[in-house]
Amino acid sequence: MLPSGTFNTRPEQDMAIVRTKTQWLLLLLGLAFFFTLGLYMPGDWLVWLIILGMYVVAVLGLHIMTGLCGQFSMGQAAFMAVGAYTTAVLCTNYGLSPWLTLPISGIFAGLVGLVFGTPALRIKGFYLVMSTIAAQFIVVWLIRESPGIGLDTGGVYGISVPKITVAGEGLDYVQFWWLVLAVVVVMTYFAKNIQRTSTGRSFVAVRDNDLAAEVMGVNLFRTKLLAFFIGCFFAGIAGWLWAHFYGWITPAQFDFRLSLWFLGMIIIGGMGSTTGAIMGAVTIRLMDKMVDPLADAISSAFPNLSVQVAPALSLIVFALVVIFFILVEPKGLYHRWERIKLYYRLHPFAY
Amino acid sequence: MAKGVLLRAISVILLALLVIPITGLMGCSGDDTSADRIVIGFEGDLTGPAARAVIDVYNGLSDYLKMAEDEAIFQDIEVSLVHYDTKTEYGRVPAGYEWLKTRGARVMAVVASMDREVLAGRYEDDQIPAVGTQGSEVLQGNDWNFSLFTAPEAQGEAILQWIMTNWDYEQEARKPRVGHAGMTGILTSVAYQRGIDRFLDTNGDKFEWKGHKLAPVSSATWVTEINSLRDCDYIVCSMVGPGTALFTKEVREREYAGNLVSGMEAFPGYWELVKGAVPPSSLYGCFYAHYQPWWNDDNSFIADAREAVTRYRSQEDAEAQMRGTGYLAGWAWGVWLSNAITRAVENVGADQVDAIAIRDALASTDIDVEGWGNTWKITETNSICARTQRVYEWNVDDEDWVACSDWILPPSAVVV
Repeated sequence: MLPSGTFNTRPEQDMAIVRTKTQWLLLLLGLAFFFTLGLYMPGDWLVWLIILGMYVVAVLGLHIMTGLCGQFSMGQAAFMAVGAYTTAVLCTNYGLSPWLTLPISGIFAGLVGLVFGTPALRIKGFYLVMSTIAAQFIVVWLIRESPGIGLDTGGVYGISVPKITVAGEGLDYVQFWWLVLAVVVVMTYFAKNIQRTSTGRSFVAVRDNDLAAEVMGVNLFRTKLLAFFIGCFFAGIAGWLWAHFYGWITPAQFDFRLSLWFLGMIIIGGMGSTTGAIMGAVTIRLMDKMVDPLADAISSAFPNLSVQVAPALSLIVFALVVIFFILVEPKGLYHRWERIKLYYRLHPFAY
Repeated sequence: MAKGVLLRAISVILLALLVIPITGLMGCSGDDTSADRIVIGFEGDLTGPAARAVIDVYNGLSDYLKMAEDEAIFQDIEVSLVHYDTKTEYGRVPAGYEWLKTRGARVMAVVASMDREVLAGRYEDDQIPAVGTQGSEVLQGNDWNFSLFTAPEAQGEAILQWIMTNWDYEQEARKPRVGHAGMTGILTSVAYQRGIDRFLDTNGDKFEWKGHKLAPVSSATWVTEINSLRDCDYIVCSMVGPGTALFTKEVREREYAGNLVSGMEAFPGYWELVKGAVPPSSLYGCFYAHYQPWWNDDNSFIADAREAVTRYRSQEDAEAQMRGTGYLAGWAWGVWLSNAITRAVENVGADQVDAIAIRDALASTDIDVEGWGNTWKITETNSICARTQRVYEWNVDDEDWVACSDWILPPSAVVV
């Protein structure tokens, strides 16, 4: 529903993502806000923001795969690992520029995604979940054992990754945040836009009923594989950012828990919505961050109990909040946000 | 109606709990930096999968600092400890480091060597020193990283060196049959494998080597590995967590009567689990190699730790701490850090002690700690304090560990 007094008079207006001058203004202000955020944020919050940006990119990929196309994946962290190790191996062992490995990381992760996405033509639902869990373990195992087959990934010890440089200077936190922000903006635009293309509509058709979609002429094999490729491409890009930010990567960094978190983020944010995926990532990461000062405050107040009680309490608060959202708003935060907007626009009328 | 009210009440409480810490974001919480206050930043897994071992280390360090305050060891300065829980989640590691920096930490105490590897570049850029318990071969030569113990590879070497020294080649008229059981994909097992292979490269003729048998981490049975290693006189164990108990139980149930030898990661860390799973009479022939003295040793290091653990902990907690090695590792950290901080104060004055002064003091560590096998001496080519290890045997009758070897210096721990 459009705000009161806003009417679309041309097809381009109807198709536009940003429709009104107010929305444009808010978008520009928002971008300016996030751009300058790095300049005055405390260091730990800036690092948190950078890692959040990487998570958002990975979750957007999962949103396309799972939220739009209905192909449940619990191996997103593994595809992120593929992107991270691609850039690590190419930069460290072959001396390629990190800028050159950006698209290569995404494409290679996408290709690996195709391999594990192929069973999606035959299986779905629970069985597909099991297949992607297998991807998680197989990919991490391959990376870990790869020195045995002559590929130097450092195995369980890990591998160093060079810093991204501009004019010979390594990026500092603020500059890295700008890079992450740029990647997030581009990926969000892509994710948002793909929903409005014929490809995006085929994704949704396959998600809603793949048999009906096939009857309507949607090529199931192509559509499902494309969803896997795009979703894993996003994960590969997130992995590229991760590798160059951390500077040292090990297979343990891309464990199954991370894949679970990604899935949890799109569930909490709301399946099938780009904004929801971002909301989910921000909410979970924010909760994770917010409980730290709380734990610290409790530690200061009760020093003798600090180690036992404070972290446990922080976990309890975190778990309670997650359970609360799942119970009260199973359709996700985005659904609640839409209802709030609707309420505001219709006020004082109920409908 | 009642449900709606309840939900609203829960929402308000949860939101309040989340909003309170925003003061930290706004900068209202301030930081703990002042000229004569030195903050040690402790980063480790306090609630995640590795918490069981890490909390003991934290307790040891924290009790040492309490004792130092009570006995006025630090002159003109106050030393405090701030911790950050990484939950063994890598997304939290750099953020935790930055958070500890904002709390004014001038030296970082980081338990997991992998966390220090991730942060090594940042320590160097920010010129903040970091100390760890277990060393890492990757970090050797890094000017801002110091370790209490050598890398785990040296444990594999020390165990074989001990077997070689202990074995009576003349009387037995054969070489000892030795194999390694561990887990795939965990650093400890891979590092032991590397250390053992390195030792075998130069001493392979002294052993009848039966191979490395690594099971998946989630493995519920060790039948394949045990069958492969059944003939061994010694099985080197490098599994961690409940796997240690499962392996020990199964290996004895399958009538293996030989010896089981581990490093600091397996038996000492999970011995309570092992004791809970295996009948006491089957716990014969269990050994572990470690860098530090044990609780029943008679020396000032242990005496001080014993006094502190009974002074600052409840009886039940103190007994629990004295069944493991983590508290002693934390206590050793305390001894080391307090020595470095005291020297830094002497060198530059209480109001001038910064991270660089502490780093310089750590880099010139030269302490004789009673009960340890070597002088803790950091040099340009050595960033590790304790390089020697000793083997302990579980005494089934007394239900306690007993030292059964001299101090061993494995080849990779020799400082040139």
